[in-house]
This record gives sequence, structure tokens and C-alpha cells, in this order.
Amino acid sequence: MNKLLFLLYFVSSFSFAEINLYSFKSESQKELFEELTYEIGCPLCAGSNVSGSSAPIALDIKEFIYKEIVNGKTKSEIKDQVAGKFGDEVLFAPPRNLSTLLLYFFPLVLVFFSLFFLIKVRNK
Amino acid sequence: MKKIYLIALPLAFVGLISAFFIWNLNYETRDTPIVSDIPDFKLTDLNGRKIDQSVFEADEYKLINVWATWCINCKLEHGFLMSLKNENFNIIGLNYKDNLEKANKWLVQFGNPYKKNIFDQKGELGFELGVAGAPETYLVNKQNKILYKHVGIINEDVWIQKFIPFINE
Repeated sequence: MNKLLFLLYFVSSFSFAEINLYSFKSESQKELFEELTYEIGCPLCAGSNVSGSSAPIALDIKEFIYKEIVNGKTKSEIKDQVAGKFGDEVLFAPPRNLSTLLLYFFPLVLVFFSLFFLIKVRNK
Repeated sequence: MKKIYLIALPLAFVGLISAFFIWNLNYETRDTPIVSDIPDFKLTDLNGRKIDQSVFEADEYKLINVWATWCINCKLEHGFLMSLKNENFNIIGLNYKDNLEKANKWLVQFGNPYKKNIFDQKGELGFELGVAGAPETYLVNKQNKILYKHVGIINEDVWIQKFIPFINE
């Protein structure tokens, strides 16, 4: 699922050039940087990730992500740190907890309700 | 009889969703302080003197106001900050990603509402506090806890509705 989302980000955004500003020791660190900058949103510009934004704060967050990757932090640690400063709303995939339960299950509920009524009406 | 049920239930369902969306529209997520403690820091003030987190320890309540000379909205809220100062409410300025000379010139030209000013040229302390831009205003208590964070211009309405309830608590 995450891989699919990740691919979608590639389709929707074509700003790769700036990745070259940062140099990494390994390919996996570089991949982690790409994933995180695609999955973390810019707190000032709604709907845009930090990878696709040139707002000063987006650049700061990118710099922060870079430093933490070089320091050996994991993906979830870095996400927690950024969300701990700017809030869960900067994460494009919000954490799965009680307050976001509705967010994840609502589409399913909607489908079930629609199907239920569709069948009811058609059986009439 | 059954027909009514088939119309009423989807209607109630849509109503419920609408209510939920409207409720969420009014829910101000960005104003809830995510960072609750002032982090330790070592920076300088606008006169080049050393300044750290102990600057917040003096008063029961004080504000951190994030400002910069490049920030147009900071000019708009400046008048209200001056009136807070005249009521002896202490405001610590966080001069954010600014130019030292321009910042000092601004304070001479328009007046200085700040008790102290932290010069955060690179936005390091700002980043730790979760500052996304300017202006932002934080209400801080004596224990260096952030009680409330306001994103955007502060004026009398915002002050009375958002800040005063915390101070009177």
C-alpha cells in the first residue's frame, strides 16, 4: 500500500532536481530522504509536500530531515519529531489512532451504506 | 411505511456527515500548541548580548511574538502589541529570519513593544517551537509552558477571545 502511494507521488510531482543538493552515504538513505520529503507536508502551504515547496519553512524541514537521516534516525522517529513540532496535519498519512479512526474507516462505511440502500431500492 | 424509512435514513446520514464537516471546519488545529515547553537555547538579542531560556522565567504570564521586518502582517499587529506593552504586559520578541540592522531600525521607527528580543536569524529556535511563519504569538507561563499558540495577526478580538481565558483561569 505504501509503495503504491509512493509511486503515486512520483506521478503527481516532478521536482526531483533539488534532491541532488543533498549528498548521502548510501542509496537507502537517499531513498529514505525522498520518501520522507514526499510524505511530509509543508505547514504553510496546504496540500503541498516539503519536496515540492520552496517556502522557507519547507526548506528548513527538508534540512532537518536530511540531518536526522545522516544522524541515523529511522523513518518513524523523524516523522514523530516533525509532527511533534508542526502537528499531525503535516503527515500525509496520519497516524492510525482513535482520533483518526473515522478518517480511515469512513470510506468503507460509505461504501457499505451505499450498497445496502442500492440493494434495498433495487429489490423493490 | 417502508418508503419513508428509505428516504429518512439516507437523509439523516447526509445530515450527520454535514454536521461533522461543519464542526471540523471550525476546529482550529493549527492554534493548539503542539510544542508545550520552551526548549533550552543560546542566542543573542538585537544588541548582541547573550540570551537564553531564562528570559521567560521572570513573569507569571508573557507572550512570545514571532516577527520580522519582511512580514507585512507584523506591521499590522504592531499597534496592538504597543497597547499591550502600555498595560505592562511583557512581550518577548522572537525576531525571525531577519536582518539585525533592519530589525533595530524598525523598533526605533515604529516603537518597541518588546521587553527583550531574541535574534533568531536562522530560525533555529523558531523551528524547535514549530514556527511556520510570522506573525505567530505564544502565551507562556512562569514554568516555561506554552499555554496557547496563535497563528496570524493578534488584535483586541483575538486577545479577548483566545488569550484572556487562559490568563483568567
